[in-house]
Amino acid sequence: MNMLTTLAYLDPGAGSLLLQAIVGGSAGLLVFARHLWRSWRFRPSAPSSQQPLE
Amino acid sequence: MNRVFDSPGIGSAVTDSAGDMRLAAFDAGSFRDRSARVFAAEGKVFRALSAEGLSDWNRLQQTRFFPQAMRDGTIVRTAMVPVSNLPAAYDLGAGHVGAAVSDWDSDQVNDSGTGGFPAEDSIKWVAVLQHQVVPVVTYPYEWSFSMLRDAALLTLSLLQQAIAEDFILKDATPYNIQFIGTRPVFIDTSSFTPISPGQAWEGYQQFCQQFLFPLMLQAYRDVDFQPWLRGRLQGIAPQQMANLLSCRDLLRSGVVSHVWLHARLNQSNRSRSASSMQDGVARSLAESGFDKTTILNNVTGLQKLIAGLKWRATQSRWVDYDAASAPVHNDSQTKEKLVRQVVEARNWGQVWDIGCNMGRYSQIAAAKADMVLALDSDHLTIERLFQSLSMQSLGTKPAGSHESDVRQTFGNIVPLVFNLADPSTGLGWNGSERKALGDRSRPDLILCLAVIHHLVISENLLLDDVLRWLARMNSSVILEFVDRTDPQVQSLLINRSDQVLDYSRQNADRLIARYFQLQSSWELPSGTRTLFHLQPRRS
Repeated sequence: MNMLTTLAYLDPGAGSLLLQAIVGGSAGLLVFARHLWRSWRFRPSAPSSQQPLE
Repeated sequence: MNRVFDSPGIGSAVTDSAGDMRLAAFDAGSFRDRSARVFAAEGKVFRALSAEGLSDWNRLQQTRFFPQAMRDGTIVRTAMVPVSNLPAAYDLGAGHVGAAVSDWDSDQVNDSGTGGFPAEDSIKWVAVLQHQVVPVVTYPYEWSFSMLRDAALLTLSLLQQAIAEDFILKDATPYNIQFIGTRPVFIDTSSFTPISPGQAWEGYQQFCQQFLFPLMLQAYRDVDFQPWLRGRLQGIAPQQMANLLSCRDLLRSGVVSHVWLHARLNQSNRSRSASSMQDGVARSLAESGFDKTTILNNVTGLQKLIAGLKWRATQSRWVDYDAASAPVHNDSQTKEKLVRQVVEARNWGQVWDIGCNMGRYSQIAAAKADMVLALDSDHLTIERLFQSLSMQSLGTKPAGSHESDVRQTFGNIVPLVFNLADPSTGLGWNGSERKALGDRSRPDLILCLAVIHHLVISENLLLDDVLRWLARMNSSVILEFVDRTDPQVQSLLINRSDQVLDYSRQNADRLIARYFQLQSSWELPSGTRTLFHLQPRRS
């Protein structure tokens, strides 16, 4: 658990956190764009159908 | 155990059956923040702090905004008190094995679960704050539109000031605000905490659900927000709010971003259902360069949005009631004189003006009372009264934060939307997180003027029940009885097949004699209305 989550005693909502970047002006939009890039770049890879069954 | 009602405000002190041992329990509504919990004893309000809470408090003292806001009166006056100064013999475990206050700062509180607090309740309290007592705790589902808007703007203003000094509000709920007269005051000092680098505002969703969406519902759809806040204490969820608005409302200020997009983002993130999604989003935003400027931009936008929200309702059944009714008009001068005569005979603690309308009699009572709750079931009436009282306070230059200065500037009348026939009961966790009005305020005097016929005929209550309820409040009462021959009563009965025969002067006289000691009665000039000054029967 990191510092960000230990401080929250109410559910901030993942969507609500993201929205704050969107409504946070041009700096926020840049943060949102970086977040989208990171999400795409580090997305979990889909399980391959070619993997042999154990 | 008997509740002690002479300790108004947050929490309540209790005495045991012998009345010789004063105990205190944590306030039933103060449990969500585990680093600080509120309790009351001997009419005073305290806040116990954990080590984390104490650390936040000490850092808060070093800021400029916090002490200044306390001096200005926008944050409740608060000071640390030595534990040894507190009343002895506390049960702080709310049903668990507790610890004496004097033990808090020692190692005697056993946090292993064997004799002290249970393991899951093993918070060690290390310090205590004392707060200025708020005369009566009120809830957002009792406020009018402008009251909720003023509370929202105060929350945003304090958040803005806090962020400038690297603090943030942990939460953003209207329950952190109380009204002293017409002034909103922030009471949850432990809500301020130092901001971490890259941290987003965790209270934003709560702010939307409990402040912004109810205000939008009132301003954009002319739907009273109080039943929504009372029906679901967490407020209106983004998806619910999106469903309540029409496509045309998408053109209105703030709807696309704070409502529609909010609902879509929450929905899409929920559907991904990754268990670490929230942690992932928070961390990803922090690592993507999220900083407090982004929060400040959002807060500034919300301030503009909320300051621009207007509720444009102009008509309700009750707003022009005084002016429209001939008997009301004819009797008003005599009634005012008689009410003044009773009210001015002594000083009163709290006064309830039930069915206050535009607050004429509340204002008379306010001169001789510590505080007046002006109660009316009509939202627009309470909104107009709050605006009118706020205008009066605007014309008075704030003299300072001392109680007499505050009273002089912001008055001692708190208007509330309250329907005696449908009062809010204990709500929330365990049915006690939010209390019934009678558990938060005990009036010394009740004004019940030209309202009883509405309760019995329109609300279909029994005259016997209404008078018995009044008697049980154990207060002095000024009651105006409106006879069946009065045009107002006639108009209420005109389409009724049930003619409500228990509502009669004869029955009223019989019940008054049963439940009260009659002090005086006066026939008003209309000839259809009688004013009674009543005292409860001492059993």
